[in-house]
Amino acid sequence: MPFVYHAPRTLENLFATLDSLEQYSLLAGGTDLIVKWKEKLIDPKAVVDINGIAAMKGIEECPHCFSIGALVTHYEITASARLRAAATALYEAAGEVGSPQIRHIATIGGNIVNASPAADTAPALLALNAEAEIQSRTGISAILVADLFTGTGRTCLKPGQIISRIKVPASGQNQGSAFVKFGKRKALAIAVVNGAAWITIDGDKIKDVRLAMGAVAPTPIRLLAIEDWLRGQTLAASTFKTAGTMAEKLVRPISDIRSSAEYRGDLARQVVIRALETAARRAKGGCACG
Amino acid sequence: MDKIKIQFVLNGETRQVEVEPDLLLIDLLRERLGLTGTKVGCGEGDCGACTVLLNGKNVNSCLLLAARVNGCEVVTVEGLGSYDKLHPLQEAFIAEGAVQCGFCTPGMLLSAKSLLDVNARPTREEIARHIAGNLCRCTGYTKIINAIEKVACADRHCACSREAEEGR
Repeated sequence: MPFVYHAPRTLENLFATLDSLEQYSLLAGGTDLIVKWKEKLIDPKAVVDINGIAAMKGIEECPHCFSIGALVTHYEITASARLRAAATALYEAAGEVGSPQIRHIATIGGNIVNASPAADTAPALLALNAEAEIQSRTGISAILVADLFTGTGRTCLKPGQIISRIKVPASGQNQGSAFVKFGKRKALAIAVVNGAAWITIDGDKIKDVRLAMGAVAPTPIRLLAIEDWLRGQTLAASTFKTAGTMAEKLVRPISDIRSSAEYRGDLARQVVIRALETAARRAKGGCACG
Repeated sequence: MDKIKIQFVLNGETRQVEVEPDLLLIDLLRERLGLTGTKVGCGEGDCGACTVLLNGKNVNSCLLLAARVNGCEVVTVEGLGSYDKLHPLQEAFIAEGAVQCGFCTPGMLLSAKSLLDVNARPTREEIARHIAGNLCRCTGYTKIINAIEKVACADRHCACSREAEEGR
């Protein structure tokens, strides 16, 4: 069935449009939406194209954080020298999504709201402790991206609510982050397992750490038990190796067309080791992007 | 179903058309406007045969609603060169044997152009990464990368050593 097309140009018009519709799909990049529509997995009565809304665009730098519009494309993230330096895991994850054609169109807001357990930007945003700004006609609130996912393909967003921007804390002195992905090929591959680490060091100790992983559970997850163990540990290959082994035991992945559960467990170990090693190296190096 | 009036610049020419809400850009180009150089492959954004330039960037026209190009600039392979005067990339693809069945070629050329427009002297790795969204089932990519590199080198009048590259 064809759909009615709306293209509001302001948030005010957007919310008025959403209020008037019984059922709708929001169109940002559309690289997931149009595929689902073609495959008849969805049949929207109305498509609301939000690409004209300026308030949802652009990367702004605030004190100690970035405000990234939900409509910012993966390409724009990979073109930002500031994100590369101070939100390195996100920069790396955005560069691993799809292909150049997809990255030019697909948006970070879409990557999150689509709520795939294998979304590449999700573990990076979780490790960086990013917040999503949820906006509706009645106001604006913030929620950790980690708390947004309620299941595979599902978020806690209610009808009439949108994610307008994403707030990402900037890494500073003694901090670093990294993203690691295992896919079947280098482009257009849905992750078999992906993950990200953010670390703060104090001398040769781990002062604070966040670890996140994708494609090992119904949603992207934080590995909180491993984070707890890692705080205060010495920066050493053996520490990272132990954390990797803990991850392999902790995660409960499924077998599907991309991998067996057993292999995903192996990869989970490697993702944790590599992400921690790289993030720690960047924290030590003083430059987050090395 | 109400039609939507859009205006966009197609291959340098301003066009005004009325489109259905669910019309895809690829179908507007091929079926309505007769520009069949852009190919339909997988229809899901995996193969890149439908690649066009949207405001200078390579995108999959099979994943874009036509209504979305309102106010934008679109370039298809028909806007790249003409039969009388081929684009340097087209010349290089022929000279290097980078065209076999030809189905991927229009998309490949446009992805190459979008790269060279922002990075006049890409490395072979950068070229390979930039055409990663364009599948070719004939050439094995080596000759395509050679052709793109040839144009990049010609633009910069650099002495490009193929022997050195073959070691990679």
